[in-house]
Amino acid sequence: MQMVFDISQDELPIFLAEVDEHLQTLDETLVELEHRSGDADLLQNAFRAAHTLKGMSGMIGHHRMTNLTHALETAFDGLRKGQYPVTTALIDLCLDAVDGLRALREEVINGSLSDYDPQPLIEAFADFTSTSGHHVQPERRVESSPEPPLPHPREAQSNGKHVLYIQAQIDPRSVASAARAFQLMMALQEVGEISTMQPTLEQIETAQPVQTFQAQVLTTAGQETVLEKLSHISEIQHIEVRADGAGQPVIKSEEPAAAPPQSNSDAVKVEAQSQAVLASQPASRGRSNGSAARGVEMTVRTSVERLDSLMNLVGELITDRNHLFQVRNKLEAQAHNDPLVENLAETVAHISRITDQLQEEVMRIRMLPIGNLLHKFPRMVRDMSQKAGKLVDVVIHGEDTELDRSMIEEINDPLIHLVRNAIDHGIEPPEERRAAGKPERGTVTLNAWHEQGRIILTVSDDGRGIDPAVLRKKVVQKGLMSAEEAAALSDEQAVDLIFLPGFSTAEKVTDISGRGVGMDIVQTNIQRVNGTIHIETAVGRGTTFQIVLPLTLAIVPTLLVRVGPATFAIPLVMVLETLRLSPADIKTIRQKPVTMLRGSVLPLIYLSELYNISENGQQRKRLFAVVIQSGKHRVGLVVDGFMGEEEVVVKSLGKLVGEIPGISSAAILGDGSITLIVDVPALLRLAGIH
Amino acid sequence: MTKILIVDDAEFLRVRIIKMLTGQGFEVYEAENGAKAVEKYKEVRPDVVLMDITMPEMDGLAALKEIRAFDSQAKVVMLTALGQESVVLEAVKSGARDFIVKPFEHDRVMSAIHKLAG
Repeated sequence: MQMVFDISQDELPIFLAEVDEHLQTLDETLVELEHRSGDADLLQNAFRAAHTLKGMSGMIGHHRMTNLTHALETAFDGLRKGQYPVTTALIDLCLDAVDGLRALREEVINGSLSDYDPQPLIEAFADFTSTSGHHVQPERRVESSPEPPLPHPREAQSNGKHVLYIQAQIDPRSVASAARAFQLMMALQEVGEISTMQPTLEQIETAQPVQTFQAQVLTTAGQETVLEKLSHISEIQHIEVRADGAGQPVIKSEEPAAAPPQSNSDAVKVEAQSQAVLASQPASRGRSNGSAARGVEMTVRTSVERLDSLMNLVGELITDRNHLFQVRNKLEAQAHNDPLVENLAETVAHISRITDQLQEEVMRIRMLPIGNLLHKFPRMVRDMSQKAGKLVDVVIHGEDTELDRSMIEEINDPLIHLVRNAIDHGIEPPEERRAAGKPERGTVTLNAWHEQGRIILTVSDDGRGIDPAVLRKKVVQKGLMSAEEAAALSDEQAVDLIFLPGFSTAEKVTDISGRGVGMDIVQTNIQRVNGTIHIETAVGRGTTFQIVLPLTLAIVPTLLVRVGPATFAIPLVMVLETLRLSPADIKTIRQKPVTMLRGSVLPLIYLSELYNISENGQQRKRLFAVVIQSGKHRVGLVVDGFMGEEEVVVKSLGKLVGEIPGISSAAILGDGSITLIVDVPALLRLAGIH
Repeated sequence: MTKILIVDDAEFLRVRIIKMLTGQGFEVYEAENGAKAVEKYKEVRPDVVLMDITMPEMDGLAALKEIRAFDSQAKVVMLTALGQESVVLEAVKSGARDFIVKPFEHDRVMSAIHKLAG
């Protein structure tokens, strides 16, 4: 069934983003409320979010959404007024409503109705509020008899004053007819003195609906003046202004939208003012709405694709800048003191600074606070821990930390998985925690911060920790390792076993984490964005997963190395240090080359062997190694030489080249040559490490 | 040219109204909360203010009072929703010149503006 909401294509993204934001607020505040039920600010936030959603859904004519938000808003209002306390049942109900609103939001995206029916929930809300001591006051209309039995004023028409009788019908659709009555009263007070009024001020003050307003005013003003004054008030369907006594002329006004005007020869008709003014509004005014004149805030919406292409262009610029550097260096070597060369060098330095700034600006545009991602966790943890029968609190730090939007998308799934794991495997059931002398409630902490051009993200729990002995046993049981191999593992290496494909520590597949995604996928996903993950754990105390991410995916700072005629670029995030080796430093253990680095064994990988690069000088005196780290594996990559660090712009290998094991992508260097960017984890797998 | 200030925390609503009003040849300004509305009012002195009641930072009622204290002639129309009868009454007492219920119709907004600015 096709269904069209009253919303245009350009409004749609704003609407959806805003709805999303408010639903997120509701999720967060509801979970918070459960712990801090007396918090008036929280309640106010929740109320406001529901209220705004109601208004927004009304604007596009999404009635089911309006009704559901209204039920939610009413529930919050009751809480605000202290009519009932915050209970888990109520929070559950509210969270269900938020989920329902998400389903209804989908309808706006699809432009068609879904199966979702909010009615049962709306009724549940109604049941709740009615059984929880909240009684809606029955609508009480302040009625008055149709003909005003108003007493005649004692004061005669002295000093030019006369009495006018006013009767006004207020549009019954008005949401606050009492306020209209108040406006009528104020308008009359401006022209004269009100001697009697129906409803009375006290009745108006109750804010109960008012349909008919009657008053008697002692005034010097004429009927037309009074009528004119009153006709400025909206939602008044019918106004009569009569002078004292029958047979006197009646002056009345009708709202244009109301019933057809009565033809009364004595009546002075007030022109339907709004229409008159509308007609007099010159159409030409619409043309002068230059952007400068419109005080609309100076922001622009743009597509992600456009930002991507901007980033790409900046990348090209960086490549050219790097090229310019090389040209300058060569020129300076050939002809220093040449004023022209100095001039060029200065310009190159300036271009370089500008390029850096440009890159930073473009990157900043693409940055989003990680809060966008982290804020959904309190709700998620609540649901997960309820299912797992555990008591878990969430603590979030550093939600303002910004990172590239594409990175945010990439780390979403790994983060969810880590949090699931923390609840499912990390945090113990309440009775087990009590027995261990811990507080019943466990805590999962998400933390994010910037550190030296990288983003560090941690997921910690105060649960049972990971026991290396259990993992050693498990890996043997699963036939992934021999008992000897397992026994030889250090504790750290044993803990890292959870990253092994096909390894799961769960006793049984649970609803929460047993979804066929293992920690190996988590690790792969993170490494794909040039990030790393590692674990710190203490049995009985808890586990911390630390993820280190680069700021962006498009430009990678790398170390360029030479192997024979080829150049490789190793992401700097993976590089620990560089070494100079003499042939004597290289030993062999179990037919594998290694070297000793500060007392520990460092396995060596020859890039030339991996990629069959023929070497010219076989017995070289000097070799170099790049110490790289992936997870807990530390390896030395043996190369012929270093060519320095360079920020390279990542280019995909494309379909023609296809996938090369151990290589993630390519880049064009400053001198126009091509380099291959090493995919360190894949390279280690290729070399048989793991 | 008639200047209108639209105050609402929901961007979607602002976009809607701005589109509607600029199409009618009005000069439209916007603010996303009461505090910014007061600031904007002092800066541009709009002919009519359309102001939401429920907003973060400073709500519509507080902003109305501040604007009226600054300019006793300020013409403020409250944007309201069902269930806010007493707040609306309070707003009218505090000098709001009109109120419109959300979701509002084009004609209702135009007529409110013309009554005040015409």
